[in-house]
Amino acid sequence: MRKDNKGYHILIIEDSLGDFVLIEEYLLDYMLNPTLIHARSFQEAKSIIGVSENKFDVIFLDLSLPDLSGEKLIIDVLDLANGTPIVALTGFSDLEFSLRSLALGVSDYLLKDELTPIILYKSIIYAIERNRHFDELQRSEKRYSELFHLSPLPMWVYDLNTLEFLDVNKAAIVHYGYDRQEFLSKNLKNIRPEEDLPILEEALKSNTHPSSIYAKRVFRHLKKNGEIIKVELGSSAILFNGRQAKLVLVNDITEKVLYIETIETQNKALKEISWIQSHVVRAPLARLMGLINLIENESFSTNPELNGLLGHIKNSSVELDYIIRDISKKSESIPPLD
Amino acid sequence: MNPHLLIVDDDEVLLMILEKIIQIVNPERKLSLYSSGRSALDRLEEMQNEQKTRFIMLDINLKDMSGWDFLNELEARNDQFSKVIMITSSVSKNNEVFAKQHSSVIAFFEKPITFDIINSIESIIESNSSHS
Repeated sequence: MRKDNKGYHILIIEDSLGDFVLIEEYLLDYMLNPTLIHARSFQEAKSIIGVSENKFDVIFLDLSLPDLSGEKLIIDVLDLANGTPIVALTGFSDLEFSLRSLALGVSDYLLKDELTPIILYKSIIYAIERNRHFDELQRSEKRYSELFHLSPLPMWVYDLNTLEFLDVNKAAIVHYGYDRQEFLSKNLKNIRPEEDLPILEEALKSNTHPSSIYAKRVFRHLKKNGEIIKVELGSSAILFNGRQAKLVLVNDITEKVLYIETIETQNKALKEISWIQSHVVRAPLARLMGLINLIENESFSTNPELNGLLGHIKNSSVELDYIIRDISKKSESIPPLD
Repeated sequence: MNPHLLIVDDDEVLLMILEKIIQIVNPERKLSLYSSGRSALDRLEEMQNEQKTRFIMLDINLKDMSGWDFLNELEARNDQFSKVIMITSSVSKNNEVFAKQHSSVIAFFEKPITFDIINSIESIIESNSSHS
């Protein structure tokens, strides 16, 4: 039979030398060169695991040791193991306790009386593989959790039915001024100005469709300090710990809106000025030019000096007319907003 | 043939200038001056039975109404005999575009009123009355 030649490191916490020898014998049936460390008590196991060079692929744990046993033993060893899979060994059959130990985090539960080499070997392989898979899942969860919590934009998750906040990120806490506990004790209505509640109701009605993945809208929000901000919200439906929820991304556009409003006001004033130039200022100028034209046709040729002066007045009026036309043309060439 | 020319402008000085220039260019021209849109519209209503082509020099910015209101009211009466020559002191391009959308408008001029413009208007009146 071909043996598994990976160099497994296995800690066996077992007070009975007979049981240890049996386990060792069984393991060697399937493994070529495992490193087996034997601890006879919880204290001994604790000192072995405490040495940082000792890294184990799996830990076998007898559930009745002279210095500790049962649930307390499992909890303490799990704590020491720091993620290393643990396979519990026991001499008696207690289904209820075995289930409880699995719930506590033990990878597997074996009865010593029913041990065979293949059961032991399989249990190790399963425990290691399952653990690795679990690690990857946790890493991936951590990555997504960081995307949420470290996002520079405020984000939160709210319950679609109760509107309560289920989770908020750091940026939201900083931006709105509520600490985490305060935030989680609130619901969507608490961060809206009172008079905007009907807008919220209306938005929620059109928002309940689970497939509305990303709808951007502008709302007013209320900070803890009473300041009202204008925000653009993006949201998508998610299932959060089994609850129908929405993940919301907040973009504070208060400054942007203020900036645009200022520019719009300025634009309006400029348009008015341009209108005045084009319609109001030019009226008396046109009248003046008409008068000059009329005077030119009356005979002034007898007085060359007066004729010269009239020529200067005419040139000035033409120049002023040119300036007004230029201003008017420039204002008309400004493209209108969509 | 000497068609009637009605001038509608709220600028009294301009009415004086126009009157003087037209008297120099064509002393025979039959002239009426109106400083409000309403008075001119009332007069035109009285003239509706005459069945004779008349010309109106119309300013866009009147005190009691805009030139556009004036045109709308005139066109609502289905007055086929009133031909309008728009005169404006503003230099906005849009005015000419709007003016051309009105069927009663036959010409468009920007102030100032000069002898050249009055000469042009005289020949426009000439050509439009011979065809009617």
